[in-house]
Amino acid sequence: MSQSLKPYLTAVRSSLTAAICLEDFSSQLVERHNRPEIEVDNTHTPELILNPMAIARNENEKVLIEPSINSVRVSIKIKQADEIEQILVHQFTRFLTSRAENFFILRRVPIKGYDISFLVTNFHTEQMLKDKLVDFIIEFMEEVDKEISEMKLFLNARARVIAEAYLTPFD
Amino acid sequence: MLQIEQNNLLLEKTITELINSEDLKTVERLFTDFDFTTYHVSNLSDEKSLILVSIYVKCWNDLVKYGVESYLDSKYSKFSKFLTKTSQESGYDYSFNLDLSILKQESIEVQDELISELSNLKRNCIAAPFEQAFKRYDELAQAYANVDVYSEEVKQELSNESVLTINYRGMDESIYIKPSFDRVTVIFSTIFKDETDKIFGKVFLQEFVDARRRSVQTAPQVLYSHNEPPLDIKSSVNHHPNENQGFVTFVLFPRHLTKGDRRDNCISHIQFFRNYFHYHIKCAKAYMHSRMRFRVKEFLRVLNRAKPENLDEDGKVIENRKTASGRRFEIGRA
Amino acid sequence: MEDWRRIDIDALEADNFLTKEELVPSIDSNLSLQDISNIINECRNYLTKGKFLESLQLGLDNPPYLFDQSVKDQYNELMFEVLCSIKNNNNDVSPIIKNLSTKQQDVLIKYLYKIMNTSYGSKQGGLMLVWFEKTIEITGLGPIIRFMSDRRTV
Repeated sequence: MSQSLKPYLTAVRSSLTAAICLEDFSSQLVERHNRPEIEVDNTHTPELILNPMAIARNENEKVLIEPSINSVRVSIKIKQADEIEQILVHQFTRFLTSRAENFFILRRVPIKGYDISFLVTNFHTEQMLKDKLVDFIIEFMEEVDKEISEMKLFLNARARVIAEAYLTPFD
Repeated sequence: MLQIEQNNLLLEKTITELINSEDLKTVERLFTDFDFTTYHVSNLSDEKSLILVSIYVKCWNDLVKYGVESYLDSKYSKFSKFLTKTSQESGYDYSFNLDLSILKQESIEVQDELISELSNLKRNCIAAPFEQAFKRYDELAQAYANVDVYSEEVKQELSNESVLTINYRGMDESIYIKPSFDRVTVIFSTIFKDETDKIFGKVFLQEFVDARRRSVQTAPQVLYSHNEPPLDIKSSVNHHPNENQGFVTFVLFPRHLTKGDRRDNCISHIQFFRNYFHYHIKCAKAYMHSRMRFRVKEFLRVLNRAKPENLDEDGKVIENRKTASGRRFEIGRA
Repeated sequence: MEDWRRIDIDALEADNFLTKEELVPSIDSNLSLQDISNIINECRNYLTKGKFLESLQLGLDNPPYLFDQSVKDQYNELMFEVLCSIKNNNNDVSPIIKNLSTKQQDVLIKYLYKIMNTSYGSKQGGLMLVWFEKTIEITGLGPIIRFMSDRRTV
């Protein structure tokens, strides 16, 4: 594990653990509605939104945690060093978000400036163990980086093999 | 499965079947090949022993310019006893008339040769302009054998050498061939369907460019330019700027153009470049996809650990729980 | 009769909503703008003299809660400088954090989150994260929770 990854993940883990502390909360504005407060317009109810937390490893790797009374939105910016990684991250996140219903906490659209967003609501924490949810997000962050760099290596290796396989028979 | 077969397997099988079957059958088959090529094998009128084999090639009009008809005639003339050219079927570009009754009398070797030559029909069609360009190279090589090729006039003359253009997939994707006295330059223009193809293509082509430097020193030189056509063909490209277009240049050196098997092999090999290239882009994409599928499954497993109902009393994950009747739950379907 | 369905009741009862400003608790601080710039200078002085702890404590004791964003930004940059230079001159920041009061530790976390949200801060993310990790090791999650709910922002 590289040197700055551990403090990064520790920071995300402790921030998430602190932020995922949710309760059932019905809308104060609309009768009989119960919405994740972080996702709705809060001009009239600013007291339901808490201060957002930004954790940055560097410019290209960031996590934004936006807590509210009954929901937390976690957005992750995944490292993208070059064009290839960009396209791989794009493909991967698209693949994930199109399966969002299986993931319960995955948001279909990431918020602006980030690659993937999770939305944890009180309903999720009622059904699932909070620590394991945090574990999941941390593991996700670790694995995504690994997966992307492995895919990139594979692509290069494959390209090399096929280029040689094509060019050799000329002679 | 690294290389793409140059002949058409379906055509080969169909003809083999026809020859080997005991009694004559009615046949009506339609199949396709790369680059919008279509074959049609059918009975000629009611006579079951006469088979009509037709081919449609998208760039036929270009090929005609470069003498495809006479090339094919010469290529297949050795089978003239039972394979004759007929006027083309409507909707197709070139038709053969195959007489099974005569062919069946021939030796196995002749039959096999016919099958292999016929299944290479598309390869042979596209080969015509290459043959012509290589012939031109032979002429040039001779003409300039003892001339100072670095003088301005000669350079001028050479750069005026006409470029053979084959729009093998419509107007957007073409092959350009430019002969010279010491090389033949073959340039492919190709379109990438989407951003991913483009990036993958770039990675692949970079390796093509590097391969020569690294390990396959005897290979043709490969150059790649994105968007901008190379100088050699600038004048002959009616270029509408297209974000997704790329140009791949192969420089074939005399060692690749040695007459005989090597030259034939070179033609067969290079004309399949686009197919090979795009085929491998798709393969890489498919592999990535299966990889992602696997990864998503793993993620789901981790997430499912968060659900208390998936844990036993000691907090361990229960996988594959069964109902009373022994059926399993499917958790983590991706 | 007036169409009562069309009455804008929100307009009549608008006062029931809290505004963002009302959420900020009253702060008794009599720092003037001049004081803030004095503090900034003082902090830098301490830094050049190598009095890291004093510099950090002074900075953390007087966050400009009451001022507008430009002053806050200026102060953020100061804190960034302080934190960077302390880390660059000391391998282990834990003893320094231990010497801070609980209140100061809370403010430190506030600044760490704030700085990581800026462009210059995210470039030095690794450095900020070391601070963060060490602080949390000592304090536990308390400062994070207090950061989330504290309306006195930096």
